[in-house]
Amino acid sequence: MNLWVVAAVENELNIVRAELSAGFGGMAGGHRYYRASWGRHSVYLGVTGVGIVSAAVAVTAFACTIGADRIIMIGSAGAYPGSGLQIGDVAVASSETFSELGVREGPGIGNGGALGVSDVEQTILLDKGLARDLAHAANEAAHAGSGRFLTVAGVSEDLGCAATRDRHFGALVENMEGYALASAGQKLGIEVGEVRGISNYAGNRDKGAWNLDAANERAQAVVPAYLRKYLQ
Amino acid sequence: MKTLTIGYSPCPNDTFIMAALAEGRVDTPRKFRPVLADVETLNQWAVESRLEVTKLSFMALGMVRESYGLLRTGSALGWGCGPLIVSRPGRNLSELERGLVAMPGILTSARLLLSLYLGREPGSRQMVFSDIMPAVARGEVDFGLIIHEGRFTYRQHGLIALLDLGEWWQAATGRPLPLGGIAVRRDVGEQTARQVDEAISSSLKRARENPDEPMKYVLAHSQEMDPEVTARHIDLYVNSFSDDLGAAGEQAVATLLSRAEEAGLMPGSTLPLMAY
Repeated sequence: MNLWVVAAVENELNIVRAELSAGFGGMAGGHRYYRASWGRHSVYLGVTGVGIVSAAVAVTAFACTIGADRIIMIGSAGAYPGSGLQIGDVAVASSETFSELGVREGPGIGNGGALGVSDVEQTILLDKGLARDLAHAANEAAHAGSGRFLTVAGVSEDLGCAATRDRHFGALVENMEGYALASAGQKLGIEVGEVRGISNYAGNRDKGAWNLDAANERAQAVVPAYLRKYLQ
Repeated sequence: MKTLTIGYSPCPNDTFIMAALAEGRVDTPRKFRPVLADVETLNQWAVESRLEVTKLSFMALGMVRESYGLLRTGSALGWGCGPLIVSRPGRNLSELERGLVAMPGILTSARLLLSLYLGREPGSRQMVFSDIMPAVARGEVDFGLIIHEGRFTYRQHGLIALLDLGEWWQAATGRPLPLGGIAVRRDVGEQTARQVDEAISSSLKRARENPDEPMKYVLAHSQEMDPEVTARHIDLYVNSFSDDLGAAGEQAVATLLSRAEEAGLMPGSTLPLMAY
C-alpha cells in the first residue's frame, strides 16, 4: 500500500518524519515529499502548501505521479468556541464543507446549492472506515472529538465572523486545506482522512493565545498510533 | 438561535439513537452539532462543562450534578447488560481484591460498580476499551473490566468471565443497572432541555420505526465490524429505558448515586437529578 501523510507546511510533519526516518523522496507538482517504509508498506510524507488551491494541486500530483491508496491530512485548526474542543485537543473529520463555495450569503459564507449546478457539492463525506480508525488512534494521543470540519479560503478575521460561521455551518473546526483533500479523494477514488490538533479558537488572531506546538505534536502523535494499530 | 453541541460515543447504542438527528431526518427547532468521542473523553469533558448536551456515564453524572441534569431519553439501563470481570483461565475471584484490573476509564459506571462491589477503589490500569481484552490475554494485567460488545466477544480472546457486576447489582438492589445517560448543562435552561429531549426522542422513534435506516451510520462508527454483534449490542442497550427513563429508571439511577455517595465515592448534591 502507498499511504500518504500530508500537511500544509514542513513543520507539521517534522515529528513523523523523524519517527519514520523518512528521507527526501522528490518533488511532485512542485511539492516536496519524503519516503519511508512501514513493514511491507510505503509511507510518503507530502507538503501541500497552505490553502485549498495549493493543497488540491499537491494531493492530485502526489496521487497521480507516485500513486496513493490512502491519504491522511494532518495539521492544526481553529476550534469554534461552541464545539467543546480546546487548545491541545485533537479533531478527526467526518466530513468537509467548503465555506465560501457558491453564492455569497454573508462574510465568508457561500451557498453551494444556490448556484443551481447539479454537481457542486459544498459538503463531502470522508472515508468512514478511515475516520473511525483515526478516531480510535487519536484517542490514544489525546482527547479527541470527531465531526464536521469547515474549510475556509480565508480564516475568520475576528470572533464575530467565527460566530457567524459557527451558527451557519455547525462545524467543529475551521482549516484551509481539508476540502481539497476530500474532493481529490472523491474524484480519484482514494480513501482520505483528516486529523488536526487544535492550536487556537477560530477568530482569535492574537497568536500569543495560540499553541501551534501542542497542536502539531498531538496531530502527529496520531500517525504512529494509527500505523501500529491499523497498518499491518 | 444558538447551535447546541451534542456529544455521544461511537458505540452502536448511541449512534443508533442519534443517527436521524445527526443526519438531519428529525424536525427540531434547535440546530445540533454532533461531536463523537469515546465515553471517557465525554466524561472528562463533562467535568469541564464543555458541551451543552452530552452522553456520559452515570459515575460521571454523579460528579457533575451541579452543572448537568439528566434527560428522560437516550439512557442505557437494563437487565443482563452489566460489566464483566474477565481473566485468563485459572484465576479466581478471591484474587480480585489484590489484582490489577484493566478498565476503560476512571469515570465509568463500570468502575463505580466494581468499587461498590469491593467496598473500595480497585487497583486499576486505564486502557482504551479495545486494548483491554488483548492485555488480559497476554497476561499484562490480572483482570479486565469489560463493557458493551466485550460481553459478546471475550471468549474469542480465550478469556473467562468471573463476575457479572450487573447480576450482582440486580441481586443487591432489585433495580435495573444504570450505565449511562444523556445530560444537559443546566445553564441552557429547562425549555431548551425539553427541546433536546424531544429531538432525541424523535430520533430514536424514527430509528425504531425504520431500524435499517440508521445502520449505515451505526456501522460507520462501530469498532465491532460484525453486524450480528452490533445488532445484539443495540438490542441489549437500547430498550424501554432508552425511550423513557420512567420512575423505575430514575429510581435506579438515584440508588446508584446515593450508594456511591454513602461509600464516599462521589460528592452529594441538593439539585434534582433530572434536567427539568
